Amino acid sequence: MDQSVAGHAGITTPHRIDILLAEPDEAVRDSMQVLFETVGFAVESARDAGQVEALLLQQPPRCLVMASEFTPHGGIALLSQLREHGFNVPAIITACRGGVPLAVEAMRAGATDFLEKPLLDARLLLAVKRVMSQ
Amino acid sequence: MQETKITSATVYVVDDDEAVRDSIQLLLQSVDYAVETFESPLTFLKAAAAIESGCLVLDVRMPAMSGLELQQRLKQNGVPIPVIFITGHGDVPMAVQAMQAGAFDFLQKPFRDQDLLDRIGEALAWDRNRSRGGRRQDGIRANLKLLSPREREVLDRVVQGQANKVIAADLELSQRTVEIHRARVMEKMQADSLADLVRMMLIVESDSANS
Repeated sequence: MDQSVAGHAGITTPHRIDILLAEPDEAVRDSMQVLFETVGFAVESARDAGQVEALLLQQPPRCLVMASEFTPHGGIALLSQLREHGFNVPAIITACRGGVPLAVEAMRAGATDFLEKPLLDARLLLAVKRVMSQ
Repeated sequence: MQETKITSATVYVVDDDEAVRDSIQLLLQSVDYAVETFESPLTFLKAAAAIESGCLVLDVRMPAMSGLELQQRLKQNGVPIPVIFITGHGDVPMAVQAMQAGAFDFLQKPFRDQDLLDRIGEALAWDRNRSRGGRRQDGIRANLKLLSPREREVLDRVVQGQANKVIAADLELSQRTVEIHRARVMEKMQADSLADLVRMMLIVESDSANS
């Protein structure tokens, strides 16, 4: 077998992750993934809180993009918990509603940035690049 | 001219709207807080050098100098007072910007009196912890001593808001190396976020400026 093909399967070799997505809405998740991959970022998605923490430990991404609606307890509560556990990964929280109060709550929980949905592609890419360069 | 006797925990209110200043002053006096109000951000900036503790309730939109600008100037002058923004026309990007710059909180008008009192209570408690016997300062100083000279160089640039790319060029390091130093700094300083780190540095810097 061609070794490069085996390498691409990514089973034995841990691959690089630029962006870890924690987004419960499948349509939003897919469109974000396409957007990020189009500009060359390696993207991984997490299904639940445990998977977020596991991936942060195993293959620390350069940025976490998490919905405030992620997990039953919410993405902001999860972010607080991650910060308490010492994860300093730059994190962008996204939300469908909530306005200023939710934005402030997210920032106090340790978010690096906060974006309202619907997300404009350009705005999202700019935010990701900005937090990565910090 | 206002004569400002700065004593213990005082709530400072800076708002160009007299009605807002008056109503907040009444509210705070009703629960026995010491209050000082300022119409002009510039007047407050002059008085701020003498402030040792308290918190600041700050309007975002004012002529002459915006609240966000005043927050920046206070930071530059090493006044580590917690800032609670209030605004009638707040939007999400503005709130995020204020929080990224280290604001303690950001409230939209109209807010309930109790909400403002709660936030002020939290801000004052935070401020007391900061100044209590310099314990927090000692903690931060002890953590600073754990940093290597290189990490300290990275820290100084990070809190000035420099991007990793700029720091890397400046110190002739790779960006990846800067990221690693930066992660170690966050870990050794026990900082949750960049804002937390900025606050810590304000605390120790303002102290060395006074001593």
